[in-house]
Amino acid sequence: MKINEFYQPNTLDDAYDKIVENSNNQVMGGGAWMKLSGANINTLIHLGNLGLDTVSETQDKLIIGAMVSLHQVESNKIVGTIYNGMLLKAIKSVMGVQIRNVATIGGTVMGRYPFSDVLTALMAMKAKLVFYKRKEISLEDYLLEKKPERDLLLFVEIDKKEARGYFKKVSKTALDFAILNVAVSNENGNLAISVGARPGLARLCHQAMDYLNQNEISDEIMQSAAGKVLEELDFSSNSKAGKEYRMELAKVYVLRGLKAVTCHED
Amino acid sequence: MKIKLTINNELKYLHVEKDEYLLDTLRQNNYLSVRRGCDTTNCGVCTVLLDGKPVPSCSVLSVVADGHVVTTVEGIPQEAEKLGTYFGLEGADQCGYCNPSVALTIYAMKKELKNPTDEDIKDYLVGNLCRCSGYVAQEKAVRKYLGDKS
Repeated sequence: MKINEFYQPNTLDDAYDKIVENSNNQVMGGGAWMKLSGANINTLIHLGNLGLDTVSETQDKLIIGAMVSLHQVESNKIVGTIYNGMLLKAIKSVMGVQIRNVATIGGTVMGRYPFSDVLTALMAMKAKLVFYKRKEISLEDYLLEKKPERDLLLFVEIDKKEARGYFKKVSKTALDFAILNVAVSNENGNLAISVGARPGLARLCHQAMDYLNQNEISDEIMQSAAGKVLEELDFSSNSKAGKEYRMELAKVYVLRGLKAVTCHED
Repeated sequence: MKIKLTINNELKYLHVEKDEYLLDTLRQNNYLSVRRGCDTTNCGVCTVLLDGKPVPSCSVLSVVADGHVVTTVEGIPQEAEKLGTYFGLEGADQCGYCNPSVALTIYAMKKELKNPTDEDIKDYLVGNLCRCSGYVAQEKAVRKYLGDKS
């Protein structure tokens, strides 16, 4: 990695102008995984002076600034209570506390890392993103974009809903990237399933979700839904795991997740 | 670029490259207790405290640390000695390569968590790999250190 200039803007306008000025200008979140890239960066833009490093809340939302570290998020008391602490569990599965003090929520989102555990949980929580120019967009829509327009992420917003949540990361060791991760949520009977590290980027399983939400929940319906997840999503092989193994894991953990959030535990 | 760091309570003005990492800056300036391990944020052996929080110095750009407070194990001599004693007594100290980073992480945990459970301790220390002593003896030593009110 080569950095030609380092820039710390003092206003959002200034930051946005620098982002769109040159396609080789790059915003850094925490910089946790930046080293792994061999990029030649024209100007590295650090957002440390923009006040985006706090977590705030309204009556119905948790608003996480883009520069909030993952460890700050996990230390927030509300995060441990919403969706059964699903986001907390996903964050705690990210390596050690050292890296979670460096990695930011904004870097996690904008990095669009396929192995990300946090993105999978945020998808099942229907998180929203607030950008400087584009304003509000759902995390799902953002991750579906092939080449998102250059913009400045300000906040990640999560609704503080009464909901149940389940998260599972499968990895070879505690510090390794996920072979597969699964998040399932149940908000007043509205079920959502997100699967990531397939090894592709996290995706919501809409066909399976629609099927579940149109039928009365039973063991058979949940088993069928887990099967639909396998039909709906792409799975493939890489150095960490084979396609068939990933599919088997997805079937098992989606079913366990559905049972957990619908109280149909074995 | 010229940056300002407070390292172990001492103000330092240092010249760094824009793509230089804190690990390299510290080692070039003779803070040799900060060790290089995997260099990819996996092993935790390069841990230092940045404004009191444990971070992998191999993944923090020196320019980002500008104006902040860095603590290496030399900056917490009394706590490090106490921890070293318990590590020795429990047989949790063989090659010692990871000890400075482990000491800093445990020190930060003590500051951050009140009455941590065994699970909390394991969770906090999961990012510090030890490849010779193992973790059972370390856990015992940490428990004794946390219980030491002297």
